Amino acid sequence: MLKIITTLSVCLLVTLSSFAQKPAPVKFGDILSDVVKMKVYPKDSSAEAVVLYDGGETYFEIMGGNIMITQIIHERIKILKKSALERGSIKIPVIRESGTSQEFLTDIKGFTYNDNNGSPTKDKLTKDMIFQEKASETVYYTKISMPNIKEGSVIEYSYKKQTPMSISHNPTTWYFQQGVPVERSDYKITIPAYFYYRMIMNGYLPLALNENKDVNISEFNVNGLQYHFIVLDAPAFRDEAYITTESDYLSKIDFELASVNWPDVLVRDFSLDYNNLNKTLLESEQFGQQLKRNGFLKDIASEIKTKYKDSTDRIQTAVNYIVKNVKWDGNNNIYTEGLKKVFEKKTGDAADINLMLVALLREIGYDANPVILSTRDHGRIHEQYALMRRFNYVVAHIEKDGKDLLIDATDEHLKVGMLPYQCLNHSGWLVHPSFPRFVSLEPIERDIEFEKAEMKIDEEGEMKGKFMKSYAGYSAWSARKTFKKEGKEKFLEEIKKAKTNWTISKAEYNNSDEISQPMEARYDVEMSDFVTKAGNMMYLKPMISEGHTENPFKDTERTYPIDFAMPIDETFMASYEIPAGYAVIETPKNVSFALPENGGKFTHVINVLENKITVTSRLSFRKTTYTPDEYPFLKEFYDQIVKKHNEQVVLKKQ
Amino acid sequence: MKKALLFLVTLSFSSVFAQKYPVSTIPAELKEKAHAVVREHKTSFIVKDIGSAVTKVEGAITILDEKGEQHTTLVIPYNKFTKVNDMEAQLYDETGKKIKSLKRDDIESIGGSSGANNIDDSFVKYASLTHTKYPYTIVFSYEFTTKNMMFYPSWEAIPYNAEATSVEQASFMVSMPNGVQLRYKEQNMLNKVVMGRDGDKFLYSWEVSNLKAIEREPYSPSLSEILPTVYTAPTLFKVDDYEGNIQSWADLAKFYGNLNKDREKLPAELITKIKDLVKNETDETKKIKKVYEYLQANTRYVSIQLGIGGWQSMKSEDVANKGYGDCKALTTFTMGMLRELGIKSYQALVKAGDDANDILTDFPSFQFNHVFLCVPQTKDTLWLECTSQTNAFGYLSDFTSNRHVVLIQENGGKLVKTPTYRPNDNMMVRKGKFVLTEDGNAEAEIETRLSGLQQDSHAGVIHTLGTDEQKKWLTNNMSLSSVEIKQFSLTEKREKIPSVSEKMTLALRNISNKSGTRIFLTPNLLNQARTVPLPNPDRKVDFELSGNYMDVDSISFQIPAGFSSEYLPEPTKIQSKFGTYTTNVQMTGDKILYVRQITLLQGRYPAAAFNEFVDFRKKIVKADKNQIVLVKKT
Repeated sequence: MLKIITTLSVCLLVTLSSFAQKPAPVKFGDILSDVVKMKVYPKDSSAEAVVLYDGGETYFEIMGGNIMITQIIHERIKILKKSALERGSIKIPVIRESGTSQEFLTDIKGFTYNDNNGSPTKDKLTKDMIFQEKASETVYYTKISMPNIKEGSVIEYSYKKQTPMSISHNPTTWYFQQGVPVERSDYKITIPAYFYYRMIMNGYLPLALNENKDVNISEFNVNGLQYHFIVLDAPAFRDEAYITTESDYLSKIDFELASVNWPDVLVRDFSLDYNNLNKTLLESEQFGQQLKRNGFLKDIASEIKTKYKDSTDRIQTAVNYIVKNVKWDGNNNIYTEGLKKVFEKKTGDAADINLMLVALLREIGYDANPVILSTRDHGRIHEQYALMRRFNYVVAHIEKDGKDLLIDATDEHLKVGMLPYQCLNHSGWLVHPSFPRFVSLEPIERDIEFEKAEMKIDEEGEMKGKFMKSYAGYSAWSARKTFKKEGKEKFLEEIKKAKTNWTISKAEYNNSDEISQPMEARYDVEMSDFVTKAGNMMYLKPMISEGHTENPFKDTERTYPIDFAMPIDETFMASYEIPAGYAVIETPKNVSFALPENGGKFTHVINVLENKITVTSRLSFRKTTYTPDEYPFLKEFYDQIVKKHNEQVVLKKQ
Repeated sequence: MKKALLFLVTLSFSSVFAQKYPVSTIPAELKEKAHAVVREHKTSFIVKDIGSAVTKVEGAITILDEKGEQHTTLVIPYNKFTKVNDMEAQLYDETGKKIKSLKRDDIESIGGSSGANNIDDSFVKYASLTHTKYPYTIVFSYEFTTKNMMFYPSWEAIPYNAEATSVEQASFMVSMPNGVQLRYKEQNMLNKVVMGRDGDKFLYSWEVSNLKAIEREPYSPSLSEILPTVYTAPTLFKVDDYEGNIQSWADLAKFYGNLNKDREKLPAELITKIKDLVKNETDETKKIKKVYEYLQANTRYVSIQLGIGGWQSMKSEDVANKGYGDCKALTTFTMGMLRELGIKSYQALVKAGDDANDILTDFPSFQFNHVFLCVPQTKDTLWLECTSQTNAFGYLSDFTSNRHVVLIQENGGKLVKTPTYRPNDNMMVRKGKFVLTEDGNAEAEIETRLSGLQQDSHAGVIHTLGTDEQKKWLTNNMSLSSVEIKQFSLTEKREKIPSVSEKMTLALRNISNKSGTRIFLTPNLLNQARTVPLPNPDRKVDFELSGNYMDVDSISFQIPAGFSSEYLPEPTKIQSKFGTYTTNVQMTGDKILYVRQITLLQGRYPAAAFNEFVDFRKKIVKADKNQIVLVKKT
C-alpha cells in the first residue's frame, strides 16, 4: 500500500492546497435550470460546448468467477453551438465473444434538457435510440443518439461497462482535459490490496482534489485504497504547430498493473521498474527468446563474414540484406510474431525487421541489442516509470568506437546510425542482458540543404544559368524517398509546379540511390520575374529559390515547446552577371544575427565585384527543441529572415 | 442515402486461370506509365429472377511496383441483402511460379461505419496479398449473391477507373432470365454489345483489350466520365417486398415514392405548433422560412443507413419525437410540416457533392446519394437542404447546385436542373487602407464582402469556430509574412445568396521592403494568384474550370513622408475566353490606389486550348507580383 502512495507523491500534477472543502458529489438528474438557460459559457465565451461534469468511477468485482474492472461513466454536457450537436451521438466499443475477453455494457440511461421559456423540458433516452453495430468479429459498437439535441441542450447520460481484468487490460486512461472546456472532471478508483497499479499523471493542470483513503472491499475480503481526483475548470486543449502529439500535453492519469499479491491465488511481479521491464522483454517469447532462434540466418551471416572484413561494410551489408528481404508493412510494434515466420513471409513490422537485424548482427559476431522507443505520434516515454505500453518501436543497437550506433532497417534510404523522423523522440531503452540503460535518440544527422546558382541577366531583365541543389541528412532522406516513389519525371514535375517562374530546360539528378553521398539536383534554367525592369533601372530579387517568404510562427503566444526534431542547416549561394552598361547603385545591408545561447544563426551577405553580384545566405538551427520562452525570439528571428530574403538590388544603366 | 454498391461480376474461367501469367508476355506498350497491368478480368452478373442475382469476378493482375499495390486488396461490401459465397486469391512471382494463397484467416470482416453519428448495417470483407519482390501477379476470384435488385452493376473496363493501370483483356457479361429486359448504356466503348442466348437466358457481353495506362491530366473531367464503362439497370425488379419496373425517370420516382409512402404524418401537437408559428404570416415564402428555421433549430442530422439499402425513410413522427434523422427522414419531415400549411413540396433525389459529376440524364437508374426538398413557388423555386442546421434559407451551395435532380411527385416525377451560381453571385469585394512606415511596417483597415460560393468557408468558420480560433484562421488565411489582427468581426447575411462581411484592423510587419534608399512594395498583398499548371502540348482530354466568380480589390497605401515614386506598374488588361483580369495603379499626393478585378468563368474546353489557359494563368501570376518602387526624395 505504501508503495502506491510513494508513487503518487512524485506525480507530475500539483495539488492545490488552498482547496479547503471537497466539492459535493454530483448526482444524476440534479440539473440546475440556470445551466439549461445558459447561452454562453462565461469562462470561455468561444466554446462550442462545455463538459459540465465528466465523472468516472472504477472498481473491481467478481462476476461468474472472473475479476471484472467495472467503470461507471457519468457525463453532463452543455451544447452551446450547432457545431457541437454531434456530441449527442455517443459511440461505445464493446468486445463480445464467448471467451475471456467478453465485456458487458449495461445501465445505459440518459436525458436531454432544453429550455422552454424558463422552465426546462426533459426528454428520455429510450431503447429505440440505442443501436448495436457490428464492427468486426468481436468488436461491437453501441451507438446512442440522444433525443432532441439543439443549441442550448444539456445532455446527461451514464452507463456501466465491465471488462475482465488482465495484464493487458488496465483501467482506462482518464483524461482531465478535452477539446472543449471541462468544468469538473471527477475520477474515483478503488483498488483491492491484492493489486498494485502504477499510476502516472501527466499534463499542465493542477488537481483540485487528490485524496486517498483505506476502504474495506468485502467482495474480495480485503482492504483497499480509494483514490479520488478532481480537476476544476480545465480549459479547452488547443493544438499548436511543431509538437509531438496531443497526448504528451494533455492532463491525464495512466494505469499499469505492476504486481499481484493475492495469497493462494496469484503472487507475481509484472514490470516494476526498468530492470524488470528489461527482464520481461528478454524472457519474452515474442522478443528476447526470438533472438536465440536465428539458425535461418547462419548462411547469410557467414557469407557476409567471408566476403567483407571491414566492420562498416559488414554492418551495411547486413542492413541491406534485411531491407531487401523483408518489407516493412508500415506498422510499429515492439513484439515479433516470430522471426523465422516473418523471414518466410518477407514482410513485417518494425519489431519483426529490427529484431531480425539484431539477430543477424549477432550471428556475424557483434554485440547487437534491441532498443525500444516510442515514436513521436505515440508520445513520450517516462524515464522514471517503466511502462511497457509506452513503447511501440524497436531499432537495433551496437556500440562502435565507444559510441551508440542505432540502426533501423525498415527504410532503405536511412544511413546506418540514422533514425527516421518519427523515432526522434528524445530517449529509448537499450534492452541488454547485463548493461541495460537509456540511450539518446538525438539525431546524429541534420537537415541540410545547399543551393548554388550561377546566373546571367540580359538587357530585358531575363535570367539564364545553372542552379544546383544538394540534399544531405534528413533532407536527403525525404528527397530520396519521394524520388524513388515518384520517379524522376514526377519529381521534376513537382519542382516545375512549385517554381512557376522557372523554365527548366535540362535536369539531372545524382546519387539518388547512393545514400553515403548527398543527393544532387542540377538544372539549366531560365527565370523571369526576379528582375523588374523600369526605364533605365532594374531591380533584382536575388533569392531566386524564394527562400523564406512567410513566417511559420504566426501566433503571438506559445504554450508548448517547439519541437523541430532535428537541427536544420540551409545555405544559398548565387552569382549574377549583370548586363553590359549597367552598374549596381544600391545593395541591401549585410547582416548576421543569432538566437540566444547559440540556438541558431543567420547570415546574409551581398557583394559586388565588377559586373558580378554574389549572394550568400545561411540559416541554421542548432537545437532540436525550443522552449516556449524562446518562442518570441524564434518568431522575431524568422521575421528578420523574411525581411532580408525579400530585399532587392538596384541596377542603373550608366 | 447510400451510394449504390455497384459491383463487377464474372464467369468461371478456372481452366484459363490455371496458367501462370509470366510477366514476360506483357506487351511493352502496356507497361508504359503503368504501376499495374490487368492481365485478364471477367465480370459476370447473372440475374436469377427479378429478386436476385449472382455476381462473379475472376481476374489476374500484375503489380509492377509499390504504387500498383492498391490492386492487391480485395474489398467486397455486403449487408443483409448480400451474401459473399467465395473469395480466393493466389500470388505468383515474375516467372509465374506460385508463391502463396490467400488463407481463410487473411480475410477480415469489418463494419461499414465508424463514427458515432453514423448508424449502418453494412460490412466489408477485406483481404490483401502482397509480395516484396516486384513484379508479381495476383490471381483472384470471388462471388456474391444479392437480393437488392434496385441496383445493377456499372462495369468499368479499367478496374476502379484506376490511373496507371493498363488492361490486356477484360470482359463483362450479363445473363437475363426470359421475360426480364436489361437496360444498358455504353460509354467510350470501342466494341459494342454482343448478344446471344443460352437456352432461355439472354446473354449480353462486352469486351475490351489492350487499353493503355492513363494518367489523369490536371483539370480533367472525372475519370468515370472519360473511361470505357458499361452501365446497366433493371426494368422489372424486387427488393424486400417492393416491386418496381423502371423505364423512365417517372417510373423511378414512382418506385421511390411508393417505398416512402405515408411517412410524413406528424404528431397533432407539432401540427398545432407549426400552425401557431406562422399564424401572423401572409406571405408564403415567409411561412416556409419559419418552418425551415424551426427545422434547423430543433433537429440534427444523424446518418441512419438501415433497412432497404438505406433508401427508406424513418417516419416523421419519430423525427418529431427524437429530434434527429437522416436526409430522407428530415426531408420527409419538412415536407410533412409544409403540407400541414397547405404548401406543396417535392423530395428531390440528387447526386450531391462539390466534386460529383452530373448524373447520366438519359439512363434512369438510382445514381443518387442524397435527397433534399424542392418547393415550387409562383415566381421562383425554393430548394431546402434539410440536413444542415446552419445553411442559409434557400441556398444550395456547391453541394446540390448546377445539376440534374429527380423530383418525386404525386404520380411519378421528372428530371429538373437546379440553379447555377454566376460570377455576380460568387463575389469577393475588398476595400483596404494601408498606412506604411519607412521600415516596412503598416497599419491597415480591411473590409471584405464575400457572397455565394465564395462565402462558404467563412460561413463554416463562423459556425464551427470560437472567437480565438476564428482569429487564428483569419491570420493563417492571409499569406503575409507577419501580421497581427488587432480587431475583427465576421457578420453573416443568411439570404438566398448568402454573404459574409469580414472587417479587420491589422498591424503588419515587413509588408514592404527597404533596401537602402528605396522601398519595394507589391500592392497585391492579399489576393495573389500563385499556381500555374504545367503546359502540355500533348494533352489528351478536355479540361474543366469551376470558375464563376469575381473578385474586386481596391487597396490604398499612404506612403511614408519623404518618399516619391520611382516606378509604378503599368495598367494590365488580360482578356480570354476563360475570364478577364485588370489592374491599375495610380498615385495622388502621398496615396497610391491599387485596383484589381478578376472574373473567371465556368466552362469545359477542348484539350487544344489548354496551353492558352496556362498562358492566361501565367500572365495573371506575373501581374500579381508587380511591384511599386519608392525612393527617398533628395
